[in-house]
Amino acid sequence: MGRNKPQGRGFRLAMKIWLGVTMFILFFPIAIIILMSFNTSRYGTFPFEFTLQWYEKLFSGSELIASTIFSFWFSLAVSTVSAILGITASLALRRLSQKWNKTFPTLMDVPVIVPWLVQGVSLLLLFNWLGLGRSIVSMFLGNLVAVMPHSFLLTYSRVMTMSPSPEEAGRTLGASGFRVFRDITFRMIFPAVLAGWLMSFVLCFNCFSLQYYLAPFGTYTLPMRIFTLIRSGCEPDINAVATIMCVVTFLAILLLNKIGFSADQLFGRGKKGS
Amino acid sequence: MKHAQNRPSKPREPVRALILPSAAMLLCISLIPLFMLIVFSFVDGNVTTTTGISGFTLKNFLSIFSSSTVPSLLWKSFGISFLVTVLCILIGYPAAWAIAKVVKPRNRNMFVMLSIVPALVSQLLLIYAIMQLLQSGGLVMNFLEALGICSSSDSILYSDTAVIIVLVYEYLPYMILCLYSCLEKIDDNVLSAAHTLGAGRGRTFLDVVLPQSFSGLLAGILVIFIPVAGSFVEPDTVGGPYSMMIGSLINTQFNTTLNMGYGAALSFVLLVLMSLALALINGGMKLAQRKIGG
Repeated sequence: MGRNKPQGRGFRLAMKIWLGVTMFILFFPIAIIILMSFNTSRYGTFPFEFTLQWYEKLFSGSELIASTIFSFWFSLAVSTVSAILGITASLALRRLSQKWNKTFPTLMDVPVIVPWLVQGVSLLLLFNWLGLGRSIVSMFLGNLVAVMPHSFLLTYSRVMTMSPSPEEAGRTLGASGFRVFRDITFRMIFPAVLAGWLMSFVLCFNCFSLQYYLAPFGTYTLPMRIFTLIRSGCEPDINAVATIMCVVTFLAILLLNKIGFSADQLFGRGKKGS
Repeated sequence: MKHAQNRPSKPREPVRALILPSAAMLLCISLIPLFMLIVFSFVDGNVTTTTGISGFTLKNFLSIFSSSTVPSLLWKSFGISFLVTVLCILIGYPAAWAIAKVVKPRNRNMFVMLSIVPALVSQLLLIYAIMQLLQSGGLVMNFLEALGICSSSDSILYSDTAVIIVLVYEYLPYMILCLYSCLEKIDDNVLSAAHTLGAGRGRTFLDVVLPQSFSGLLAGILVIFIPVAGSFVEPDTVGGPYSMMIGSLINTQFNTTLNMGYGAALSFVLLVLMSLALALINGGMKLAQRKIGG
Protein backbone atom coordinates (compact mmCIF):
# COMPACT_ATOMS: atom_id res chain seq x y z
CA MET A 1 0.00 0.00 0.00
CA GLY A 2 3.08 2.23 -0.19
CA ARG A 3 2.52 3.05 3.48
CA ASN A 4 -0.55 5.17 2.97
CA LYS A 5 1.12 7.40 0.46
CA PRO A 6 -0.91 6.90 -2.72
CA GLN A 7 -4.07 7.28 -0.73
CA GLY A 8 -3.84 10.03 1.83
CA ARG A 9 -5.22 9.49 5.28
CA GLY A 10 -8.22 11.75 4.70
CA PHE A 11 -9.05 9.97 1.48
CA ARG A 12 -8.90 6.56 3.14
CA LEU A 13 -11.13 7.76 5.93
CA ALA A 14 -13.63 9.18 3.44
CA MET A 15 -13.71 5.85 1.59
CA LYS A 16 -14.22 3.97 4.84
CA ILE A 17 -17.09 6.24 5.81
CA TRP A 18 -18.60 5.81 2.35
CA LEU A 19 -18.41 2.04 2.72
CA GLY A 20 -19.94 2.26 6.16
CA VAL A 21 -22.83 4.36 4.89
CA THR A 22 -23.37 2.01 1.93
CA MET A 23 -23.46 -1.02 4.22
CA PHE A 24 -25.83 0.85 6.49
CA ILE A 25 -28.14 1.63 3.58
CA LEU A 26 -28.04 -1.98 2.41
CA PHE A 27 -28.83 -3.42 5.81
CA PHE A 28 -31.07 -0.78 7.33
CA PRO A 29 -34.36 -2.00 5.82
CA ILE A 30 -33.55 -5.61 6.70
CA ALA A 31 -32.59 -4.64 10.23
CA ILE A 32 -35.85 -2.74 10.67
CA ILE A 33 -37.86 -5.73 9.45
CA ILE A 34 -36.07 -8.01 11.89
CA LEU A 35 -36.70 -5.53 14.70
CA MET A 36 -40.36 -5.19 13.74
CA SER A 37 -40.87 -8.94 13.79
CA PHE A 38 -40.37 -8.73 17.56
CA ASN A 39 -42.53 -5.66 18.01
CA THR A 40 -46.09 -5.78 19.30
CA SER A 41 -47.38 -3.01 17.06
CA ARG A 42 -49.07 -4.20 13.91
CA TYR A 43 -48.05 -1.31 11.70
CA GLY A 44 -44.36 -1.06 12.35
CA THR A 45 -44.63 1.85 14.71
CA PHE A 46 -42.87 2.63 17.95
CA PRO A 47 -42.64 2.40 20.98
CA PHE A 48 -41.00 -0.98 20.78
CA GLU A 49 -42.55 -3.73 22.89
CA PHE A 50 -41.01 -7.16 22.66
CA THR A 51 -43.23 -10.01 21.58
CA LEU A 52 -43.05 -13.38 19.87
CA GLN A 53 -46.70 -13.31 18.83
CA TRP A 54 -45.96 -12.97 15.10
CA TYR A 55 -43.82 -16.09 15.19
CA GLU A 56 -46.60 -17.88 17.03
CA LYS A 57 -49.07 -16.71 14.42
CA LEU A 58 -46.72 -17.76 11.65
CA PHE A 59 -46.21 -21.25 13.01
CA SER A 60 -49.84 -21.83 13.87
CA GLY A 61 -50.79 -22.68 10.33
CA SER A 62 -50.48 -19.37 8.51
CA GLU A 63 -50.53 -19.38 4.71
CA LEU A 64 -47.03 -17.99 4.76
CA ILE A 65 -45.54 -20.99 6.48
CA ALA A 66 -47.29 -23.36 4.09
CA SER A 67 -45.82 -21.45 1.13
CA THR A 68 -42.40 -21.40 2.77
CA ILE A 69 -42.45 -25.16 3.22
CA PHE A 70 -43.59 -25.64 -0.36
CA SER A 71 -40.88 -23.28 -1.64
CA PHE A 72 -38.29 -25.14 0.42
CA TRP A 73 -39.07 -28.59 -0.99
CA PHE A 74 -39.50 -27.22 -4.48
CA SER A 75 -36.14 -25.42 -4.43
CA LEU A 76 -34.49 -28.47 -2.92
CA ALA A 77 -35.71 -30.62 -5.80
CA VAL A 78 -34.76 -28.06 -8.46
CA SER A 79 -31.30 -27.40 -7.05
CA THR A 80 -30.55 -31.10 -6.62
CA VAL A 81 -31.44 -31.86 -10.23
CA SER A 82 -29.50 -28.77 -11.28
CA ALA A 83 -26.43 -29.99 -9.36
CA ILE A 84 -26.66 -33.44 -10.96
CA LEU A 85 -26.98 -31.94 -14.44
CA GLY A 86 -24.01 -29.69 -13.67
CA ILE A 87 -21.86 -32.66 -12.70
CA THR A 88 -22.80 -34.80 -15.68
CA ALA A 89 -22.33 -31.98 -18.17
CA SER A 90 -18.96 -30.99 -16.72
CA LEU A 91 -17.66 -34.57 -16.72
CA ALA A 92 -18.82 -35.08 -20.29
CA LEU A 93 -17.30 -31.82 -21.48
CA ARG A 94 -13.92 -32.94 -20.16
CA ARG A 95 -13.97 -35.71 -22.76
CA LEU A 96 -15.51 -33.66 -25.53
CA SER A 97 -13.80 -31.58 -28.17
CA GLN A 98 -12.52 -28.04 -27.78
CA LYS A 99 -15.46 -26.87 -29.86
CA TRP A 100 -17.99 -28.24 -27.37
CA ASN A 101 -16.04 -26.62 -24.59
CA LYS A 102 -16.36 -23.29 -26.30
CA THR A 103 -19.99 -23.50 -27.37
CA PHE A 104 -21.67 -25.18 -24.44
CA PRO A 105 -20.63 -22.76 -21.68
CA THR A 106 -21.53 -19.84 -23.97
CA LEU A 107 -24.99 -21.25 -24.59
CA MET A 108 -25.33 -21.83 -20.85
CA ASP A 109 -25.09 -18.05 -20.51
CA VAL A 110 -28.28 -17.53 -22.51
CA PRO A 111 -30.69 -18.23 -19.64
CA VAL A 112 -28.53 -15.93 -17.52
CA ILE A 113 -28.62 -13.00 -19.95
CA VAL A 114 -32.25 -13.18 -21.05
CA PRO A 115 -34.43 -11.43 -18.43
CA TRP A 116 -36.52 -13.82 -16.37
CA LEU A 117 -39.67 -12.02 -17.48
CA VAL A 118 -38.99 -12.79 -21.13
CA GLN A 119 -37.92 -16.32 -20.26
CA GLY A 120 -41.13 -16.81 -18.28
CA VAL A 121 -43.27 -15.40 -21.06
CA SER A 122 -41.71 -17.58 -23.73
CA LEU A 123 -41.98 -20.70 -21.59
CA LEU A 124 -45.61 -19.98 -20.83
CA LEU A 125 -46.31 -19.62 -24.55
CA LEU A 126 -44.52 -22.86 -25.33
CA PHE A 127 -46.18 -24.83 -22.53
CA ASN A 128 -49.58 -23.40 -23.42
CA TRP A 129 -49.10 -24.47 -26.99
CA LEU A 130 -47.95 -27.94 -25.93
CA GLY A 131 -50.95 -28.26 -23.63
CA LEU A 132 -48.87 -28.40 -20.47
CA GLY A 133 -49.96 -24.91 -19.44
CA ARG A 134 -49.24 -23.71 -15.93
CA SER A 135 -48.29 -26.73 -13.89
CA ILE A 136 -45.78 -27.98 -11.36
CA VAL A 137 -43.85 -29.58 -14.23
CA SER A 138 -43.68 -26.30 -16.16
CA MET A 139 -42.62 -24.43 -13.06
CA PHE A 140 -40.01 -27.06 -12.27
CA LEU A 141 -38.50 -26.99 -15.76
CA GLY A 142 -38.58 -23.20 -15.92
CA ASN A 143 -36.83 -22.75 -12.60
CA LEU A 144 -34.39 -25.51 -13.41
CA VAL A 145 -33.18 -23.83 -16.57
CA ALA A 146 -32.88 -20.51 -14.74
CA VAL A 147 -30.59 -21.85 -12.02
CA MET A 148 -28.78 -24.59 -13.96
CA PRO A 149 -26.08 -22.25 -15.37
CA HIS A 150 -24.95 -21.32 -11.88
CA SER A 151 -24.31 -24.84 -10.64
CA PHE A 152 -22.89 -25.82 -14.03
CA LEU A 153 -20.34 -23.00 -14.26
CA LEU A 154 -19.05 -23.57 -10.73
CA THR A 155 -18.67 -27.33 -11.19
CA TYR A 156 -17.31 -26.96 -14.70
CA SER A 157 -14.49 -24.61 -13.75
CA ARG A 158 -13.51 -26.97 -10.93
CA VAL A 159 -13.54 -30.05 -13.17
CA MET A 160 -11.47 -28.29 -15.79
CA THR A 161 -8.79 -27.08 -13.42
CA MET A 162 -8.33 -30.17 -11.26
CA SER A 163 -5.50 -32.60 -11.79
CA PRO A 164 -6.43 -35.85 -13.55
CA SER A 165 -3.67 -37.86 -11.84
CA PRO A 166 -5.66 -39.17 -8.84
CA GLU A 167 -8.33 -40.53 -11.15
CA GLU A 168 -5.77 -42.10 -13.43
CA ALA A 169 -4.10 -43.70 -10.44
CA GLY A 170 -7.43 -45.13 -9.33
CA ARG A 171 -8.09 -46.50 -12.77
CA THR A 172 -4.61 -48.03 -13.02
CA LEU A 173 -5.22 -49.75 -9.72
CA GLY A 174 -8.28 -51.38 -11.26
CA ALA A 175 -11.20 -49.32 -9.92
CA SER A 176 -14.34 -49.34 -12.04
CA GLY A 177 -15.52 -46.13 -13.69
CA PHE A 178 -18.24 -45.66 -11.12
CA ARG A 179 -15.90 -46.36 -8.25
CA VAL A 180 -13.44 -43.76 -9.55
CA PHE A 181 -16.26 -41.25 -9.75
CA ARG A 182 -17.63 -41.98 -6.29
CA ASP A 183 -14.37 -42.23 -4.41
CA ILE A 184 -12.16 -39.78 -6.27
CA THR A 185 -13.80 -37.40 -8.74
CA PHE A 186 -16.84 -36.60 -6.65
CA ARG A 187 -14.76 -35.93 -3.57
CA MET A 188 -12.52 -33.60 -5.53
CA ILE A 189 -15.35 -31.56 -7.01
CA PHE A 190 -17.55 -31.68 -3.92
CA PRO A 191 -16.94 -28.11 -2.68
CA ALA A 192 -17.81 -26.68 -6.10
CA VAL A 193 -20.88 -28.91 -6.36
CA LEU A 194 -22.02 -27.86 -2.90
CA ALA A 195 -21.49 -24.18 -3.71
CA GLY A 196 -23.42 -24.56 -6.97
CA TRP A 197 -26.17 -26.44 -5.21
CA LEU A 198 -26.52 -23.76 -2.54
CA MET A 199 -26.52 -20.97 -5.12
CA SER A 200 -29.17 -22.78 -7.16
CA PHE A 201 -31.23 -23.29 -4.06
CA VAL A 202 -31.14 -19.65 -3.04
CA LEU A 203 -31.78 -18.40 -6.58
CA CYS A 204 -34.61 -20.86 -7.17
CA PHE A 205 -36.19 -19.94 -3.86
CA ASN A 206 -36.32 -16.32 -5.01
CA CYS A 207 -37.05 -16.82 -8.68
CA PHE A 208 -40.34 -14.95 -8.54
CA SER A 209 -40.90 -14.10 -12.20
CA LEU A 210 -40.74 -17.67 -13.46
CA GLN A 211 -42.86 -19.01 -10.62
CA TYR A 212 -45.39 -16.26 -11.17
CA TYR A 213 -45.74 -17.22 -14.81
CA LEU A 214 -45.59 -20.99 -14.57
CA ALA A 215 -47.11 -21.95 -11.21
CA PRO A 216 -50.47 -23.70 -11.47
CA PHE A 217 -53.42 -21.70 -10.14
CA GLY A 218 -53.77 -22.12 -6.41
CA THR A 219 -50.12 -23.01 -5.86
CA TYR A 220 -48.20 -20.33 -4.02
CA THR A 221 -44.49 -20.21 -3.49
CA LEU A 222 -43.25 -17.86 -0.80
CA PRO A 223 -42.34 -14.98 -3.16
CA MET A 224 -45.77 -15.31 -4.82
CA ARG A 225 -47.49 -15.26 -1.44
CA ILE A 226 -45.58 -12.16 -0.39
CA PHE A 227 -46.43 -10.51 -3.71
CA THR A 228 -50.13 -11.11 -3.08
CA LEU A 229 -49.90 -9.93 0.51
CA ILE A 230 -48.01 -6.75 -0.44
CA ARG A 231 -50.71 -5.83 -2.89
CA SER A 232 -53.64 -6.64 -0.65
CA GLY A 233 -52.34 -5.19 2.60
CA CYS A 234 -49.61 -6.27 4.93
CA GLU A 235 -49.64 -9.01 7.48
CA PRO A 236 -47.09 -8.54 10.24
CA ASP A 237 -46.09 -12.19 10.13
CA ILE A 238 -44.29 -11.33 6.87
CA ASN A 239 -41.74 -9.73 9.20
CA ALA A 240 -41.27 -13.03 10.98
CA VAL A 241 -40.84 -14.95 7.71
CA ALA A 242 -38.45 -12.27 6.45
CA THR A 243 -36.37 -12.58 9.59
CA ILE A 244 -36.11 -16.33 9.24
CA MET A 245 -35.19 -15.98 5.55
CA CYS A 246 -32.50 -13.41 6.30
CA VAL A 247 -30.97 -15.61 8.96
CA VAL A 248 -31.02 -18.64 6.66
CA THR A 249 -29.50 -16.67 3.76
CA PHE A 250 -26.85 -15.33 6.08
CA LEU A 251 -25.99 -18.82 7.28
CA ALA A 252 -25.82 -20.10 3.70
CA ILE A 253 -23.40 -17.29 2.80
CA LEU A 254 -21.33 -18.06 5.87
CA LEU A 255 -21.22 -21.72 4.90
CA LEU A 256 -20.14 -20.88 1.34
CA ASN A 257 -17.43 -18.66 2.75
CA LYS A 258 -16.30 -21.51 5.02
CA ILE A 259 -15.98 -23.93 2.09
CA GLY A 260 -13.70 -21.32 0.62
CA PHE A 261 -15.76 -19.70 -2.09
CA SER A 262 -15.44 -15.98 -2.53
CA ALA A 263 -18.38 -13.95 -3.71
CA ASP A 264 -17.16 -13.31 -7.23
CA GLN A 265 -16.53 -17.01 -7.82
CA LEU A 266 -20.12 -17.74 -6.85
CA PHE A 267 -21.61 -15.30 -9.27
CA GLY A 268 -18.94 -15.74 -11.88
CA ARG A 269 -20.23 -14.13 -14.98
CA GLY A 270 -23.70 -14.85 -13.71
CA LYS A 271 -26.44 -12.72 -12.33
CA LYS A 272 -29.82 -12.91 -10.86
CA GLY A 273 -32.49 -11.38 -13.04
CA SER A 274 -35.82 -9.85 -12.59
CA MET B 1 -7.94 -22.65 -19.26
CA LYS B 2 -5.75 -25.31 -20.76
CA HIS B 3 -8.11 -28.20 -21.23
CA ALA B 4 -5.88 -30.47 -23.19
CA GLN B 5 -3.35 -31.19 -20.50
CA ASN B 6 -5.96 -31.83 -17.85
CA ARG B 7 -7.78 -34.35 -19.92
CA PRO B 8 -7.06 -37.93 -18.80
CA SER B 9 -4.86 -39.67 -21.30
CA LYS B 10 -7.31 -42.43 -22.15
CA PRO B 11 -10.68 -40.90 -23.02
CA ARG B 12 -13.59 -43.06 -21.97
CA GLU B 13 -16.17 -42.54 -24.61
CA PRO B 14 -19.49 -43.36 -22.86
CA VAL B 15 -18.97 -40.44 -20.49
CA ARG B 16 -19.54 -38.08 -23.38
CA ALA B 17 -23.21 -39.04 -23.49
CA LEU B 18 -23.64 -37.45 -20.07
CA ILE B 19 -23.83 -34.08 -21.77
CA LEU B 20 -27.17 -35.04 -23.27
CA PRO B 21 -29.54 -34.29 -20.38
CA SER B 22 -28.14 -30.80 -19.82
CA ALA B 23 -27.90 -30.09 -23.53
CA ALA B 24 -31.49 -31.23 -24.03
CA MET B 25 -32.64 -29.06 -21.13
CA LEU B 26 -30.82 -26.05 -22.45
CA LEU B 27 -32.14 -26.58 -25.94
CA CYS B 28 -35.75 -27.37 -25.09
CA ILE B 29 -36.33 -25.04 -22.17
CA SER B 30 -34.23 -22.06 -23.05
CA LEU B 31 -33.31 -21.82 -26.70
CA ILE B 32 -36.43 -23.27 -28.37
CA PRO B 33 -38.79 -21.16 -26.24
CA LEU B 34 -36.91 -18.04 -27.29
CA PHE B 35 -37.31 -19.07 -30.89
CA MET B 36 -40.99 -19.83 -30.30
CA LEU B 37 -41.37 -16.37 -28.82
CA ILE B 38 -40.47 -14.95 -32.21
CA VAL B 39 -42.95 -17.26 -33.92
CA PHE B 40 -45.74 -16.43 -31.48
CA SER B 41 -45.17 -12.71 -31.92
CA PHE B 42 -46.69 -13.11 -35.39
CA VAL B 43 -49.80 -14.80 -34.00
CA ASP B 44 -53.00 -12.85 -33.59
CA GLY B 45 -54.64 -12.96 -30.16
CA ASN B 46 -54.23 -15.67 -27.58
CA VAL B 47 -52.28 -18.92 -27.71
CA THR B 48 -54.06 -21.92 -26.28
CA THR B 49 -54.17 -25.63 -26.92
CA THR B 50 -57.75 -25.64 -28.09
CA THR B 51 -57.54 -23.02 -30.80
CA GLY B 52 -53.97 -23.66 -31.88
CA ILE B 53 -52.33 -21.21 -34.20
CA SER B 54 -54.75 -20.03 -36.82
CA GLY B 55 -52.48 -17.90 -38.93
CA PHE B 56 -49.70 -15.43 -38.97
CA THR B 57 -50.01 -11.69 -39.13
CA LEU B 58 -47.93 -8.55 -38.77
CA LYS B 59 -50.72 -6.94 -36.77
CA ASN B 60 -48.86 -7.06 -33.45
CA PHE B 61 -45.84 -5.26 -34.76
CA LEU B 62 -47.93 -2.72 -36.63
CA SER B 63 -49.87 -1.87 -33.50
CA ILE B 64 -46.64 -1.61 -31.49
CA PHE B 65 -45.03 0.82 -33.89
CA SER B 66 -48.17 2.87 -34.46
CA SER B 67 -49.07 3.19 -30.78
CA SER B 68 -47.94 6.21 -28.84
CA THR B 69 -47.63 4.48 -25.47
CA VAL B 70 -45.24 1.67 -26.35
CA PRO B 71 -42.34 3.85 -27.58
CA SER B 72 -42.71 6.15 -24.58
CA LEU B 73 -42.80 3.16 -22.22
CA LEU B 74 -39.70 1.70 -23.88
CA TRP B 75 -37.98 5.05 -23.64
CA LYS B 76 -38.93 5.39 -19.99
CA SER B 77 -37.85 1.84 -19.12
CA PHE B 78 -34.43 2.29 -20.66
CA GLY B 79 -34.18 5.73 -19.03
CA ILE B 80 -34.91 4.30 -15.58
CA SER B 81 -32.50 1.49 -16.31
CA PHE B 82 -29.79 3.99 -17.23
CA LEU B 83 -30.42 6.06 -14.12
CA VAL B 84 -30.36 3.01 -11.84
CA THR B 85 -27.12 1.80 -13.42
CA VAL B 86 -25.46 5.21 -13.01
CA LEU B 87 -26.60 5.46 -9.38
CA CYS B 88 -25.26 1.97 -8.68
CA ILE B 89 -21.90 2.93 -10.19
CA LEU B 90 -21.72 6.19 -8.23
CA ILE B 91 -22.56 4.51 -4.92
CA GLY B 92 -20.82 1.23 -5.65
CA TYR B 93 -17.48 2.43 -6.99
CA PRO B 94 -16.16 4.08 -3.82
CA ALA B 95 -17.59 1.26 -1.72
CA ALA B 96 -15.89 -1.39 -3.87
CA TRP B 97 -12.67 0.60 -3.74
CA ALA B 98 -12.90 0.78 0.04
CA ILE B 99 -13.37 -2.99 0.28
CA ALA B 100 -10.59 -3.76 -2.20
CA LYS B 101 -7.94 -1.29 -1.10
CA VAL B 102 -8.72 0.38 2.20
CA VAL B 103 -10.19 -2.28 4.48
CA LYS B 104 -7.76 -4.70 6.15
CA PRO B 105 -7.08 -7.62 3.78
CA ARG B 106 -8.45 -10.26 6.12
CA ASN B 107 -11.78 -8.45 6.37
CA ARG B 108 -12.24 -8.06 2.62
CA ASN B 109 -13.97 -11.32 1.90
CA MET B 110 -16.31 -10.76 4.82
CA PHE B 111 -17.34 -7.36 3.50
CA VAL B 112 -18.01 -8.71 0.01
CA MET B 113 -20.00 -11.62 1.39
CA LEU B 114 -21.97 -9.25 3.61
CA SER B 115 -22.75 -6.96 0.72
CA ILE B 116 -24.34 -9.75 -1.31
CA VAL B 117 -26.64 -10.89 1.50
CA PRO B 118 -29.36 -8.34 0.56
CA ALA B 119 -29.17 -9.48 -3.07
CA LEU B 120 -29.74 -13.08 -2.07
CA VAL B 121 -32.58 -12.37 0.31
CA SER B 122 -35.73 -12.61 -1.74
CA GLN B 123 -36.46 -9.71 -4.10
CA LEU B 124 -40.02 -9.58 -2.77
CA LEU B 125 -38.83 -9.34 0.81
CA LEU B 126 -36.58 -6.42 -0.13
CA ILE B 127 -39.50 -4.68 -1.78
CA TYR B 128 -41.60 -5.33 1.30
CA ALA B 129 -38.87 -4.01 3.60
CA ILE B 130 -38.51 -0.79 1.65
CA MET B 131 -42.26 -0.34 1.46
CA GLN B 132 -42.35 -0.50 5.25
CA LEU B 133 -39.73 2.23 5.48
CA LEU B 134 -41.17 4.53 2.85
CA GLN B 135 -44.85 4.28 3.70
CA SER B 136 -46.51 7.37 5.09
CA GLY B 137 -45.85 7.46 8.81
CA GLY B 138 -42.90 5.11 8.25
CA LEU B 139 -39.44 5.72 9.59
CA VAL B 140 -37.98 7.52 6.58
CA MET B 141 -40.96 9.82 6.27
CA ASN B 142 -40.82 10.67 9.98
CA PHE B 143 -37.13 11.37 9.63
CA LEU B 144 -37.68 13.63 6.63
CA GLU B 145 -40.37 15.45 8.57
CA ALA B 146 -37.98 15.97 11.46
CA LEU B 147 -35.58 17.54 8.99
CA GLY B 148 -38.40 19.76 7.81
CA ILE B 149 -38.29 18.49 4.23
CA CYS B 150 -41.80 17.17 4.03
CA SER B 151 -44.72 16.06 6.14
CA SER B 152 -44.73 12.50 7.42
CA SER B 153 -48.17 11.85 6.02
CA ASP B 154 -46.80 12.32 2.49
CA SER B 155 -45.02 9.41 0.99
CA ILE B 156 -42.73 8.83 -1.93
CA LEU B 157 -44.12 5.32 -2.08
CA TYR B 158 -46.16 4.58 -5.24
CA SER B 159 -44.08 6.79 -7.51
CA ASP B 160 -41.23 6.50 -9.97
CA THR B 161 -38.86 7.63 -7.22
CA ALA B 162 -39.83 4.64 -5.10
CA VAL B 163 -39.33 2.31 -8.07
CA ILE B 164 -35.85 3.71 -8.62
CA ILE B 165 -34.95 3.45 -4.93
CA VAL B 166 -36.04 -0.19 -4.80
CA LEU B 167 -34.18 -1.06 -8.01
CA VAL B 168 -30.94 0.58 -6.83
CA TYR B 169 -31.28 -1.24 -3.55
CA GLU B 170 -31.74 -4.58 -5.30
CA TYR B 171 -28.91 -4.24 -7.79
CA LEU B 172 -26.25 -2.29 -5.88
CA PRO B 173 -24.69 -5.48 -4.41
CA TYR B 174 -24.02 -6.82 -7.92
CA MET B 175 -22.22 -3.64 -8.94
CA ILE B 176 -20.09 -3.70 -5.78
CA LEU B 177 -19.27 -7.35 -6.43
CA CYS B 178 -18.30 -6.84 -10.08
CA LEU B 179 -16.18 -3.76 -9.36
CA TYR B 180 -14.54 -5.34 -6.34
CA SER B 181 -13.30 -8.36 -8.25
CA CYS B 182 -11.53 -6.01 -10.68
CA LEU B 183 -10.23 -3.39 -8.27
CA GLU B 184 -8.84 -6.07 -6.02
CA LYS B 185 -6.48 -7.20 -8.80
CA ILE B 186 -4.88 -3.79 -9.25
CA ASP B 187 -1.30 -4.02 -8.04
CA ASP B 188 -0.58 -1.74 -5.08
CA ASN B 189 2.92 -1.20 -6.45
CA VAL B 190 1.48 0.33 -9.60
CA LEU B 191 -0.48 2.77 -7.46
CA SER B 192 2.63 3.66 -5.49
CA ALA B 193 4.57 4.04 -8.73
CA ALA B 194 1.97 6.45 -10.09
CA HIS B 195 2.21 8.40 -6.85
CA THR B 196 6.02 8.44 -6.90
CA LEU B 197 6.02 9.62 -10.48
CA GLY B 198 3.97 12.59 -9.39
CA ALA B 199 0.52 11.65 -10.55
CA GLY B 200 -2.22 13.27 -8.54
CA ARG B 201 -5.21 11.35 -7.28
CA GLY B 202 -7.37 12.27 -10.26
CA ARG B 203 -4.66 11.39 -12.74
CA THR B 204 -4.00 8.01 -11.06
CA PHE B 205 -7.71 7.26 -11.15
CA LEU B 206 -8.08 8.12 -14.83
CA ASP B 207 -4.86 6.50 -16.05
CA VAL B 208 -4.42 3.52 -13.75
CA VAL B 209 -7.51 2.57 -11.82
CA LEU B 210 -10.31 3.25 -14.29
CA PRO B 211 -8.79 1.40 -17.27
CA GLN B 212 -8.13 -1.65 -15.10
CA SER B 213 -11.65 -1.67 -13.74
CA PHE B 214 -13.33 -1.49 -17.15
CA SER B 215 -14.13 -5.19 -17.33
CA GLY B 216 -15.78 -5.10 -13.91
CA LEU B 217 -17.67 -1.97 -14.81
CA LEU B 218 -18.90 -3.61 -18.00
CA ALA B 219 -19.95 -6.77 -16.16
CA GLY B 220 -21.77 -4.65 -13.58
CA ILE B 221 -23.54 -2.60 -16.23
CA LEU B 222 -24.72 -5.73 -18.03
CA VAL B 223 -25.89 -7.36 -14.83
CA ILE B 224 -27.92 -4.28 -13.94
CA PHE B 225 -29.00 -2.57 -17.14
CA ILE B 226 -30.65 -5.55 -18.85
CA PRO B 227 -32.81 -6.93 -16.02
CA VAL B 228 -33.82 -3.47 -14.80
CA ALA B 229 -35.09 -2.51 -18.26
CA GLY B 230 -37.34 -5.56 -18.15
CA SER B 231 -38.54 -5.27 -14.57
CA PHE B 232 -42.24 -5.48 -13.82
CA VAL B 233 -42.49 -6.46 -10.16
CA GLU B 234 -41.16 -3.16 -8.82
CA PRO B 235 -43.45 -0.84 -10.81
CA ASP B 236 -46.33 -3.18 -9.96
CA THR B 237 -45.73 -3.06 -6.21
CA VAL B 238 -44.13 0.26 -5.28
CA GLY B 239 -44.95 2.23 -8.43
CA GLY B 240 -47.94 4.49 -8.81
CA PRO B 241 -50.60 4.44 -11.53
CA TYR B 242 -48.20 6.14 -13.95
CA SER B 243 -45.11 4.15 -13.07
CA MET B 244 -45.67 1.45 -15.66
CA MET B 245 -42.59 0.15 -17.42
CA ILE B 246 -42.41 -1.98 -20.54
CA GLY B 247 -42.22 -5.10 -18.35
CA SER B 248 -45.54 -4.20 -16.74
CA LEU B 249 -47.16 -3.87 -20.15
CA ILE B 250 -45.87 -7.29 -21.21
CA ASN B 251 -47.05 -8.72 -17.91
CA THR B 252 -50.55 -7.27 -18.47
CA GLN B 253 -50.80 -9.01 -21.84
CA PHE B 254 -50.28 -12.36 -20.15
CA ASN B 255 -52.11 -11.98 -16.88
CA THR B 256 -54.92 -9.50 -17.50
CA THR B 257 -55.85 -8.83 -21.10
CA LEU B 258 -54.62 -12.24 -22.32
CA ASN B 259 -53.39 -10.97 -25.66
CA MET B 260 -50.44 -13.30 -25.77
CA GLY B 261 -49.43 -12.69 -29.37
CA TYR B 262 -49.12 -8.98 -28.67
CA GLY B 263 -47.21 -9.74 -25.46
CA ALA B 264 -44.82 -11.99 -27.37
CA ALA B 265 -44.25 -9.25 -29.94
CA LEU B 266 -43.54 -6.75 -27.15
CA SER B 267 -41.07 -9.18 -25.53
CA PHE B 268 -39.41 -9.71 -28.88
CA VAL B 269 -39.03 -5.96 -29.45
CA LEU B 270 -37.66 -5.63 -25.92
CA LEU B 271 -35.12 -8.42 -26.55
CA VAL B 272 -33.98 -6.81 -29.80
CA LEU B 273 -33.59 -3.41 -28.15
CA MET B 274 -31.70 -5.00 -25.28
CA SER B 275 -29.30 -6.68 -27.69
CA LEU B 276 -28.79 -3.32 -29.39
CA ALA B 277 -28.17 -1.68 -26.01
CA LEU B 278 -25.72 -4.47 -25.15
CA ALA B 279 -23.83 -3.94 -28.40
CA LEU B 280 -23.79 -0.18 -27.81
CA ILE B 281 -22.51 -0.55 -24.25
CA ASN B 282 -19.87 -3.04 -25.36
CA GLY B 283 -18.76 -0.79 -28.21
CA GLY B 284 -18.82 2.32 -26.06
CA MET B 285 -16.73 0.70 -23.36
CA LYS B 286 -14.19 -0.54 -25.90
CA LEU B 287 -13.94 2.92 -27.42
CA ALA B 288 -13.52 4.53 -24.01
CA GLN B 289 -10.92 1.96 -23.08
CA ARG B 290 -8.92 2.67 -26.20
CA LYS B 291 -9.18 6.43 -25.59
CA ILE B 292 -7.99 6.21 -22.01
CA GLY B 293 -5.68 3.32 -22.79
CA GLY B 294 -6.14 0.27 -20.63
